Amino acid sequence: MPMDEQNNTPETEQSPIPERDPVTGKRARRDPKDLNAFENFYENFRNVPVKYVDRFIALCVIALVVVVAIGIINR
Amino acid sequence: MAKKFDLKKFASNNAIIILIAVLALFVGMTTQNFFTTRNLSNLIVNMAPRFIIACGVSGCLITKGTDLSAGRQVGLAACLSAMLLQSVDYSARMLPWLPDIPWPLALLIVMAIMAVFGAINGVIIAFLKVPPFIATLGMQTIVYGLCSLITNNQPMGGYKKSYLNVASGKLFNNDFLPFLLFFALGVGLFFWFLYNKTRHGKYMYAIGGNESAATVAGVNVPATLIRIYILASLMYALGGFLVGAKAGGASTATGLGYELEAIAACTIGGVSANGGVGTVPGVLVGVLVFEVLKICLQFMGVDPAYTYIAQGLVIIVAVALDLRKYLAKK
Repeated sequence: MPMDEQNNTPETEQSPIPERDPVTGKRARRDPKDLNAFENFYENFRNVPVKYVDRFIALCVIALVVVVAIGIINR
Repeated sequence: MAKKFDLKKFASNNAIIILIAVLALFVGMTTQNFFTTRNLSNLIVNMAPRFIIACGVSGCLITKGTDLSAGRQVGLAACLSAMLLQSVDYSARMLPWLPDIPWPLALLIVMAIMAVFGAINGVIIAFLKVPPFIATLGMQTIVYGLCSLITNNQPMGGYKKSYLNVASGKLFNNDFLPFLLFFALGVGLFFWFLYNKTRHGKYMYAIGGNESAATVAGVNVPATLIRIYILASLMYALGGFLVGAKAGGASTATGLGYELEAIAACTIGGVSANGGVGTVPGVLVGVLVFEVLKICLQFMGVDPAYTYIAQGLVIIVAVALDLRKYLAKK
């Protein structure tokens, strides 16, 4: 089988699983073109530490409690 | 060795559910008639159509898609049901030439019509590779236009008794056993079986996990996607049929915003917007949380404007929790 035909098999057309970085042990970043809208959206936060997301969630929960409290007071 | 229970992680993953449970307890202790059978029956009746619609949307979300046309499809299904099931002696009947037909036949007709819209959504997404967000946004507008055309923007009522009884009826006249509960139960069991015990379910999770890998593994991705969107539309048809029966009328405004409620309920219930994750019990919990929040705020006499703000915040928290899980996995 000629080489160029071999390269067109379905397996080789798929984007391979990214290899791990030898230093950090994390998977290398995938090409953004291969990702869907939501993955792209989540990928924007790739470098955000989880503790910041936790703080954001806590802030939203506090805001929710405040909104409910104001709603009850203003009824 | 058994895993140690991590309270912080549990609280972080279920923040909304815990918060709403605390709110329900607070409302129950500070107001009268909250923990009553009547209120529970009301909760079940409100939840049933929303759970059915959310089950439909869940399939789209699990495959990394979405369905923004859900609410408008519910509205169209409610209007079609109204046209088919108006009482024959009702003076302002939309189709005066139509003979009296039983409600199960009307339901089948509505489901068959709505399945066409699901098939179109599926074909556009699977074969034309249009992002589901765009494809279903277009379908949302098309369905709304069609609904306005066929109803002349007139609200419809005057339903026959057997149709109204579908929503208001109770088994053995028991408050805990409204007929709507059995519709929701049937759909829930069907979806649980479909997601966990069939090849279709496995294909669905495989596509959501990694579409390229699923294709290589021999999954017929386009056919699976089309089936998912058809099934979703069938659920919107059933949901719209029940919403119409429950409200006792239908108009082009019926179902407005249901798609966002359904997507939010799925996200709260652990269906990842990133695909490949989601369970039917999770969807049920998501719908329950949303409905309990609404009922609590109604009981407290809170202005609906605050209810909308609270619902928006709940959705943001749900997405943030999903993002947190995604980042924690990295």
